[in-house]
Amino acid sequence: MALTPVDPYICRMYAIIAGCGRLGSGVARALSAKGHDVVVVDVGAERRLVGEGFDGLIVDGSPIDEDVLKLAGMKKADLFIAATSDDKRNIMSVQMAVTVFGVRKALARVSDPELERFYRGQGILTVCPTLTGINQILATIQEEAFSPLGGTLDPNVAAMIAPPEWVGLTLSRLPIPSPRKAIGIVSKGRVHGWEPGRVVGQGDSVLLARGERT
Amino acid sequence: MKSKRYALVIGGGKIGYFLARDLDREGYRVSVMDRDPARCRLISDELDMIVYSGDGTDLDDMRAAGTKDADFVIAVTGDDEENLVACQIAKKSFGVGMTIARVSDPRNAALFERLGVDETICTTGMAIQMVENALPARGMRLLSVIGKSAAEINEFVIERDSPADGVAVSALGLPAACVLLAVMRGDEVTFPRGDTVIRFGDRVFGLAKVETVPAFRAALTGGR
Repeated sequence: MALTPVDPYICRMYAIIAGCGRLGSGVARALSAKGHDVVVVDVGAERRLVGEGFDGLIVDGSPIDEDVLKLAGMKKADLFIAATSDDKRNIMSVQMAVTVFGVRKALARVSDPELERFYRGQGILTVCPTLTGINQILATIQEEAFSPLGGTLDPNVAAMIAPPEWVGLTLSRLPIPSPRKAIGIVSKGRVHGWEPGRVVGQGDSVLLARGERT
Repeated sequence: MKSKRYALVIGGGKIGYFLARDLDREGYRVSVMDRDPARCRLISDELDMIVYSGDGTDLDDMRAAGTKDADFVIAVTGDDEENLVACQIAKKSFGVGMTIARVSDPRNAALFERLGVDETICTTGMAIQMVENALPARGMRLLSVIGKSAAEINEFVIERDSPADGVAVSALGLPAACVLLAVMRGDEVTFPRGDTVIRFGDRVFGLAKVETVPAFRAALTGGR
């Protein structure tokens, strides 16, 4: 077995990944290649997807079985990623990791965007491949639409359709994590610049930029 | 007039079906939600209630079922994780006061309660206990637990070598925190008094505090 040099810029982590389909095995291989200690937990045939480039451990069992997670070394895990194809299983598994084993960073793949938003609101770390896919498609379409201009789009600027929980809030109170900031709003086809007191309506698009507002 | 209390049952399997039927008879407004449209049709044909074809872990489906007006959400699908998510959504997203989850894995009962589910019902544990109770253990059989294991109703079988055989109730030396409820002799039920004499072959029913059960049992069967 060839030794992989540990990336000098990151600490070596003990990572457990539940679910070994394309997403789980891809993450497992990537983390393993970076020199992290990786354990994969899954039941049955999908495990073979891990394949080449993976030199971690594989535990055969259900990721919502406390004994299986204990066997995988959950007590000393720095990172847990629940990436099975079942949203509910991932959600339960991550809550077990946090509540039973005290894992600091536990992340659930949730494919249903609405369920993902709900659990993110409950303080659970989530990743939604569906939203990522939608955003990627929209970005591609957007690039097509603007391509006659001949320039390159700035990915630091975006317009986001206001989610329901933003409706009724003023621009200044939107829960946007830094370094991103609201810089304006598009409401009923009209573009408004930064007005802190402006209330977000249904169907409005909030203009976002990374960096300082001027 | 106060409107009927609304119970939403997630999962229309055997447990969901009979639970919904009983809650309906007890005067609740009941709806059932199940993923399988064929199962939904069957339930709505047989029970006179609204049945939603949907997923208890889908926020849109839960909204459509009027979850925000539910007094109880009872998740009894065969999937523990599905029951957990349905209850968490009901509780945190729709503000339901009482959520109950069925768990198949007994180890999940305590975990789910830590994760915000109000009550868990462990069907596996209950089935195991009922089977154990059906097998008389050294002359005693547990019939019912009162409160969260505060007291028990037990059945005792009086054997020939029992210290109670041929002894009047008043002379049994029973501990204080117990009461003899009934004596079955053949098919006859008698309600024992101080002068009732216990005989070999009797089945004696008694209520006792959990900590008193061993002494109660020793007085009746001699076992510990």
